[in-house]
Amino acid sequence: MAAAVANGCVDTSVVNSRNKEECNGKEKKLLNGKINNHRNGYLNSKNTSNGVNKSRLDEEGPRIIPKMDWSEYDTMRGSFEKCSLLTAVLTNLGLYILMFLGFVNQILFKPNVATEKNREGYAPLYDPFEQFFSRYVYRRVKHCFNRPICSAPGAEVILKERCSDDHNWTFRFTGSKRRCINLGSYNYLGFAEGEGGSTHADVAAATRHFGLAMCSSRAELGDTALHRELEHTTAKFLGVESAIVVGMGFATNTLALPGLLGPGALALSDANNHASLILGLRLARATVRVFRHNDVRHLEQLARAALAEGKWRKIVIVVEGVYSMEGSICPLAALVALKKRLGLQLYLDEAHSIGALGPRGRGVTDYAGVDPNDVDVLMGTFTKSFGAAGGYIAGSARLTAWVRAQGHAHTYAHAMAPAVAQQIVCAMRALDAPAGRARIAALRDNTHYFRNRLREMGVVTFGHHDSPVVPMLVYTFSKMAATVERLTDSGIAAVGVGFPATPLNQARIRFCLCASHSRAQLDACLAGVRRAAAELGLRYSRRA
Amino acid sequence: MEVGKKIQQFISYWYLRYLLVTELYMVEPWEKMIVHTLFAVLFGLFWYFNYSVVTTCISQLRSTTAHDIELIL
Repeated sequence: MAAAVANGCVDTSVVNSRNKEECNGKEKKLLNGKINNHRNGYLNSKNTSNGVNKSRLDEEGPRIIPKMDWSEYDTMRGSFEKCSLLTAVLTNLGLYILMFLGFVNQILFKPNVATEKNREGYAPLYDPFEQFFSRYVYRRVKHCFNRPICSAPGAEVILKERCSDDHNWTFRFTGSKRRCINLGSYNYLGFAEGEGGSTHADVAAATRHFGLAMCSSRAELGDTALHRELEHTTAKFLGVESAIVVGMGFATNTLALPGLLGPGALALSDANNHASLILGLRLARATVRVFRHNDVRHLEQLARAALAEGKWRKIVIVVEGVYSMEGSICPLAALVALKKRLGLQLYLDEAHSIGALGPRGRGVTDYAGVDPNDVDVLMGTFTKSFGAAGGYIAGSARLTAWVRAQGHAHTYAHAMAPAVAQQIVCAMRALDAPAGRARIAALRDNTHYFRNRLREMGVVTFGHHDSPVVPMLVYTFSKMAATVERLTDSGIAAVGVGFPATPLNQARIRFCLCASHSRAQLDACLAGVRRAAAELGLRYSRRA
Repeated sequence: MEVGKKIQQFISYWYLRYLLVTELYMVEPWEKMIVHTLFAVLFGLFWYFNYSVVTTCISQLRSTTAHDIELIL
């Protein structure tokens, strides 16, 4: 009874509110109509006198702000040699054959995987195409990915060998190990050294003093003097006012972006931005417009269009320093000039560039000769160059205070382990010593040497001359798998990258160079690559 | 002997390149056979089409033109 009465009440209230809404709607419409009819001019004049900023952006902006003269800037930050039509056609044909065989296989045999049970009436857990792709394309080359290792990934790495009896559905270890030259780790400055490394004693001492893990978030019980020292050191290293560190690199982007941007913000995002940035922008519910990779002219066009719309609370350019799949470098000087001219903001992800670029290892700001204070948000990770884990957001004190309060990482994510924090502090200090500068110089030398030799070999490499990530295009999955197999046989551990990370028909081998590679090791790698290229036909380059 | 080895190497090299370019390098043996057969059938049909239709058409065309020329002359 009570429920019925309550229901009744609810119903009447709903009806009432509906009536009210309808009345309001009508009133509004009427009012709107009246205003539009009688007071149109008055309202317009009020608008223009009211928003000073808005009117400048709306009306005078596009007329007054002159177009950028891009010839002053170096905007070609990486070469992307196009493949011939024949290669493109054959690659696509190969993919169709793989799809066809996958369908045949799926019809004839039950896939050797766990299946969803008792889920009738529910949506499937996995995207059908991705499921198909991972079972019938990815599975066939699975032996080239996620290979287990059993040593520190320094200049050399020990691979644990494994084999499969059922066409890569499952693997078993053979028990043997293989020592390989490591071209697969983002260990640019060679700080991932294992026992006996330059930071070992300090890290051990920090672990004894602070413990293994903080078991709490920074905002609660996880804050130590070491973390504050790390933030201070990071800010000083980058040459900005303040920094905040997070225990996980991916989460730094994903959790800070929702704190910084909101539904009224517009993000102008590079087409090849990392998944963490894309996820962060989606979580922030910001409107995202994508500009072509490293194309400042397209970016300017989009930015001007957005300014003319005049409805965005803020417009942020989101770019990376070094793009890990293309090996290209962002044209930072040009971006900063554009941002200053149009009054935009800049979010720079230096995951791969910090430590690896610039004469002092300060990342792409150092490399491009840009004042780090001109970049609104500097983000980066410690995972790559510093041989540690985690990430940072750096900039003005106001920014970091805001991220501390509004980004979710500081409040909810576990604090960085003291050993990791100490490793970063040691690595940053080392970079200011002569030995650290020697590492940066060695990395640059190795990069130039390796890239030059590869180009002479006639294979297609992407990216900028100075970028320590060197992707070598092989186009098809089979060639990627065959190359990785041949390289492993020659004692080289390199990473093949395929579809989810690259376009479907642009599989590649990604070489990551390291300061601790010796010339002899690089020569051995190049000899291995040369053999593989000759056997498998990887000399795609048509450049003289 | 030397020549035989070279021919074998040549064939195995281009067979590998064929496998790589058609993505057959990484599939299971029976799937390889399916695609080989498919290619063979397609090629056979193509050959038969050329043999039966194209060549007869051309020969007809040639004979008619020859006949016409004869008539004109």
